[in-house]
Amino acid sequence: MVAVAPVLDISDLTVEFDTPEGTVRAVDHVSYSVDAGETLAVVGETGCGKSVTVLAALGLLGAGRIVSGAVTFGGADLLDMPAKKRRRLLGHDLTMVFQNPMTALNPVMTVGRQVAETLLVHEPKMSRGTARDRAIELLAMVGVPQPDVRYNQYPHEFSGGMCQRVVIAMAIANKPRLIVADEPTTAVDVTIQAQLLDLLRVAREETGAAVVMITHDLGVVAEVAERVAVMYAGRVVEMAPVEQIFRSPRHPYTVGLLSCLPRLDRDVSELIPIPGAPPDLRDVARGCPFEPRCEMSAARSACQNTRPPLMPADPNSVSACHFVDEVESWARARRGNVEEAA
Amino acid sequence: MTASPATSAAVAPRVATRRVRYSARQKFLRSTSGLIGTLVFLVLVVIAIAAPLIAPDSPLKRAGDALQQPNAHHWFGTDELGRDLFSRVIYGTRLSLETAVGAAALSCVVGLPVGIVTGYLGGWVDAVIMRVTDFVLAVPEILFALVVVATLGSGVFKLTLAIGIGATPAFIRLARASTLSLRDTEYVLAARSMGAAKRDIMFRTVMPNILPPIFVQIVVTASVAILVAAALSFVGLGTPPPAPSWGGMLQTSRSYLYQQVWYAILPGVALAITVGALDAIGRGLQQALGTETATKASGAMG
Repeated sequence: MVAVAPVLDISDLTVEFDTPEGTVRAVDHVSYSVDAGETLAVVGETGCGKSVTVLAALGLLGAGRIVSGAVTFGGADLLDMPAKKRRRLLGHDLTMVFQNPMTALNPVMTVGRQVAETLLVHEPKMSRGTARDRAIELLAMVGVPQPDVRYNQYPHEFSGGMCQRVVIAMAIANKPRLIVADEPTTAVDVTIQAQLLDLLRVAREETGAAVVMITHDLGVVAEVAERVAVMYAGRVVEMAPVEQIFRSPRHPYTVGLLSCLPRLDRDVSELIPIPGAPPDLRDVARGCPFEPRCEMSAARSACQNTRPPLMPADPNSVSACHFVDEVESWARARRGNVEEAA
Repeated sequence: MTASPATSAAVAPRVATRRVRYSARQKFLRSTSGLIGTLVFLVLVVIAIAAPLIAPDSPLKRAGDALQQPNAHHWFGTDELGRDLFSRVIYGTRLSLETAVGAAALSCVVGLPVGIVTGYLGGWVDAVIMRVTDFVLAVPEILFALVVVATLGSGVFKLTLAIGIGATPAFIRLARASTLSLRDTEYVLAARSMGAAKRDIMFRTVMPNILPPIFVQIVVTASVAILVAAALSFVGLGTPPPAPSWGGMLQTSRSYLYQQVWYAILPGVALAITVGALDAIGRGLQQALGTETATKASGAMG
């Protein structure tokens, strides 16, 4: 990595929610950063804190409480910043694309006006006509056909894929330095997915923005990301360049995730799911949070009693596993077993 | 900017139908009760505005002998002071609608923003406003108006004010509940992620989205206001005497039931038609906008 200051730097972020049943630590000392022009994928199962991490970092969290940590954006502290200053960054330098395009747009405002509004919020001096022209230009850019007609239509007159294009148009309207995409392709079907990923890539190339792509879809990861952070139970358990994640994962959870994925280059007749479910975050065991589901651990006492820190596994990657050196041979043996059984 | 191969290969536009956009309006006009209610109400509005042209006599001046039976000059006869009954009822439409519109507008203009703010901000603001609201709601509307009129004195304006204040909590609760259900939607989060100010989110994102049940509530409030105004006039606390209020006429007519039966019937029928029309509009709106459950929850005011 070249020594440039990262665009977004999250360090040691911890977020808790108070519930009647106790305190839930949804994000547990998470650190990651993205450089300009880079795409970082954050993967993990539902409820592992992927979205909460970014929402907290951007000051958009509704109920939770940030217990510790620091978040800087282009060198400025996002958490200590006055709300007014943060609002100037949001939607301008730092934008978001949401999971469900049908609900991310205001149903009673025309899509064109919504795009124009994102321009006007940050440039109040812009004339309404200019904003309109720019919005139509943006709609055309993201591939909305007949943008001047579609400008005056409402979100319910758009398909899901088209809505997501509008949301992306809003996200790139002000030439951001960072786009956070929160499962942008989960709610649309596969053919549209590919188009949207291409669109995001084009958007990234044209604006030079860094992208944080939150997803649980490893196919998406392979498609767009340069670096991957794998999260489990509110913690980052592995972070590595994308080729390495797929070629030689360094954490049993990543191995498990990958073997849930059908692949064309390997003759696997059966997918292997990870047994069990993520732990209840109200009551995470003392040891490694993945231990109850980990086939490699075999109930060793280190796994049960000590929480593994995130440690360098090799020059390029970090992993939170006590027995990181065993992962590779274990994964190979596991694959062998399944193939034999088949 | 050039379109990438991917974007130019965009899926063909699904030509959206315009039909969907107007469906609420069409549904409303197709519902019999909504249509009839609207027509009747429009006629009433015309009567109120054009009262001087329609009424044959002045509502306040003596136009002949007292307590005449219906005849060619006085279609429904005259009252105990010789005033033309028909003219008084026509002018009474004006009073009723003024009170209805005034009270509904007042309670909406105050209740809607307060409800949105309290729902969106939550916390102690919410707690304080909701306790005050609960207090007002706990008192029956008519009793509340009665107390306000008794302290402030009577008069059309004060009556409207009293009814309007009494109807405000229902708007606050309705707006608050609707706001709460929208506060965590993705488009509100999206608006926040775009750097929109709280004020803009509350009044430009949330407000337009909660209007349907508010419309219904406006109509309900208007009809309740007419009834409460009539009831207060009936007990002598509403519009003071010379003014031709329906409630006041009903009250006086009790003494002359045997001499002049139309004195009681005519204002009563006018009252029933007006309230019935508003009720029909409300029901039509509810059906068209699909807000049946939302308003039922807050309709505990009549």
